Amino acid sequence: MIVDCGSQIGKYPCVSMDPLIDGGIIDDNYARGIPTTDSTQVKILTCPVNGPRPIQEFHFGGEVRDMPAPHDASDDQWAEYVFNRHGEPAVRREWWYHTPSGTWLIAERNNCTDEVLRTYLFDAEAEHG
Amino acid sequence: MPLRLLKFAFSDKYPEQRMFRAPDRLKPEYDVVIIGGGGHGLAAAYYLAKDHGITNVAVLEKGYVGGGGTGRNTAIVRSNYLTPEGARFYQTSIDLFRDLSRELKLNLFYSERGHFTLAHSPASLNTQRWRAEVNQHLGIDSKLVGPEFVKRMVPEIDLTCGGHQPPIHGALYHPPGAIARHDAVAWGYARGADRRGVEIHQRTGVTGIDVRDGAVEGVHTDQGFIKTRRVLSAVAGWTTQVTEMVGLRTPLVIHPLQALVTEPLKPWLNSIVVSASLHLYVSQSSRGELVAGASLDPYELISMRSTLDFAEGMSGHMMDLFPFLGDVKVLRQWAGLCDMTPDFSPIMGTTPVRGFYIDAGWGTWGFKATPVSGLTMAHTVAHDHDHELITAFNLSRFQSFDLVGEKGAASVGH
Repeated sequence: MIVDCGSQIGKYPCVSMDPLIDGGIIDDNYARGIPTTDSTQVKILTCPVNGPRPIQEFHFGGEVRDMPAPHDASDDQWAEYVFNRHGEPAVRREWWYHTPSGTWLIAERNNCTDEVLRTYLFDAEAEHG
Repeated sequence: MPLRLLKFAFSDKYPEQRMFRAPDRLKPEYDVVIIGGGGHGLAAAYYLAKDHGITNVAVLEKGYVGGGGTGRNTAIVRSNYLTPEGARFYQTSIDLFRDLSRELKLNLFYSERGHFTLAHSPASLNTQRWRAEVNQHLGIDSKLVGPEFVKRMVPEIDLTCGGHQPPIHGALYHPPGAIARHDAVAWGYARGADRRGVEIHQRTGVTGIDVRDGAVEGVHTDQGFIKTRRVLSAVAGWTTQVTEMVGLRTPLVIHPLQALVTEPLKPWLNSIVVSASLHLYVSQSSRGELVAGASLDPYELISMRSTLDFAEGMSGHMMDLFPFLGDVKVLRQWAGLCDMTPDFSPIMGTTPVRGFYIDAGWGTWGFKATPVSGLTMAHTVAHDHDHELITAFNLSRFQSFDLVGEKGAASVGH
């Protein structure tokens, strides 16, 4: 059930993108390739049907995008839909697939810290209604 | 011991000139600002100064020179690509690499090892045969070889993969495949650019770009504002953050790619060995470490964290090919950011924003293109017109549905 999926979506000040310098001091961890943020790594993803499951059971399906009406869309609109993505740091809505149960779901995830804010099933009525 | 080393023992100060200066402040205005002090940005600065006489250039680097993709790749150079555009482009890069140590007066340890792409099934062998035929048609030195040849060139390999994986039926062999010392490539270009007047500003992050009436007017940095009409973005895995500053839409998405090195061993592996089925490429560096990389992490993430999953999987697959490595320890592992395009070709050249040039979409194939991307982007910036080698790679192809599907871009995992 989608209640207010828009509230946390959007730009995120991405800590892990500025890992090197903090007050002019070179971060030793960065030089050694160790993550500098104490972020919540996704190792467990919560499937709305099956509950918390290991990340290895899931397949990433890319960001949720609205398809323009194929017959009405201009070439530019169609190209924009087919090719362009939001690759910048953000909390985004993404498709994920729980392979063992064949469940497609939506996750709101921070693409810098790997933190998942919520997961839920797609609800066509709430999306387009 | 060379006598010149004595200088270091007896002098109070470091007796040699530094590779490049560290200017203490930005000038208020530059002819060209290059964002990103990696191999690509520094090479572009070098060729701008050398080939086009444009020396009032600032290279802005948020971290340190060569600390992004340049220092995180597995240092492999090859040109066995499958599109005419790609093959021509990467072959030019190899031609430049071969002469680069002399040109930059710095030993890049450029070492042609021969590059094997193993086939673990008859179907895969057919694919490698097709790749060899296409390569030869495009004038690339590449051929299909049988398992005996692989065994002769890499005697330590277990062609049966210990029974844990399908056995090796043959390989695509690319003799010019090489490795190089990737840091030195960045340093050499940095020194060459610096000597010609280019300023390299490390620890200088870009926070915004001023665009008025569709044209670049200046760059905001954490060290102050710079007036400029030409900006080159050469930041690979950070590109989506720069394009957002000028309001450009791109297809780029960012995935981490992980790699590792083992403890140093005596030289035994002369070739570069790639197995698409095992998601593995491995070579031995001049320091004796085995350098190995994998395919992309399976989902988008703008983070250079590494995972145990990777180290475990990679080690297992290395042992399938080279069982005796069981006792060899992993020395370190790391990740780099890959800005992936849907057709596995780069995004290069002019953009709809006047004075904003892009060198991006370097995904997993950027290091080998360092010299040619610098050369062609310098030309593009100097003439405000795409160099002929990169016209097919313009961002506009994603509007005109004119993609350059490059199936040869990555050795593994597409």
